[in-house]
Amino acid sequence: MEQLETITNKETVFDAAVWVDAHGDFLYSFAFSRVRDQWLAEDLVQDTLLAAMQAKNAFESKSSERTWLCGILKHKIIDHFRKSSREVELTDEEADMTSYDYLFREEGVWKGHWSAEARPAEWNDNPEKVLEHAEFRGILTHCLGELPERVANCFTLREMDGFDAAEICGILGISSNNFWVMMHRARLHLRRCIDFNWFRKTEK
Amino acid sequence: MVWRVLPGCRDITALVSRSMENDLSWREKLVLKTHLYTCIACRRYLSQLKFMSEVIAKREEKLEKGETAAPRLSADAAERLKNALKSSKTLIVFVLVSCF
Repeated sequence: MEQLETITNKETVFDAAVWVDAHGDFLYSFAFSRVRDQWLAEDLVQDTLLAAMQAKNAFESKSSERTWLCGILKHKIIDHFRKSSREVELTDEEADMTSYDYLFREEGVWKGHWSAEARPAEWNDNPEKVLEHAEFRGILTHCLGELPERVANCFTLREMDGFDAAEICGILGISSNNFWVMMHRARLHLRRCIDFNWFRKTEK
Repeated sequence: MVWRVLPGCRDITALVSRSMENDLSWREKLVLKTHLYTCIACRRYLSQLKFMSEVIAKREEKLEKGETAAPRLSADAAERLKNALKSSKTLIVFVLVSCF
């Protein structure tokens, strides 16, 4: 019996190490790109691998091991989003659009039009190239992180995971109107933040 | 003066955002189209939202391929993960399973 335990124990160690070495980077990058927090991403990967160990016999070799693990991780991330979203209504912080007032003119004939300073200027770059810069990737994460958490999560579910409005409303427990407010807010902010921190600085 | 009753860029940016999800009525589409026709700043706003979507899609692609797209697991973190898995009590399952 003791011998059996040693054998299984060894196998456990072996398998876990293999997963961490083979897919750890990928799973962590995937989690981090969605939750933007080092510790949380690590926890999610750990939960994923633990769940995978327990459900190992459910794995069918039809799909690749990585796809299978990533599927479990996606569920863990969505669960996390679901748990961190308890309110149906927008919080004051989420609903506050006054921080974007400066983007538009407040009076005069051109009231409601872009202010001179915030008016979108040309972005002379392409998405593929810009991603090669580590600094740009950092700015993207930073800008998302500046948003209230649920707003960032909403944007993440839509743009990274491709869920539709109804699915996201279900996960976050929000109304469709609040979904549109969150998306609008996230886009206004991200465009401005990327513009300000990258395009206006590097003068490409 | 017509532009007084027409929505300004502030309202248009909300429509632009919803147009990314194809959620506009024909009336809103018309309002948006008319505005974009004359407003280069909002046209840029739309194209920059598309740019951001493409950046994110490309980043996802790179992630899948294992190219540098997001921060990687540090050596410390990898070690922590291995230790956590080692100490987990899932031995019995492994007696039964012998695939890969």
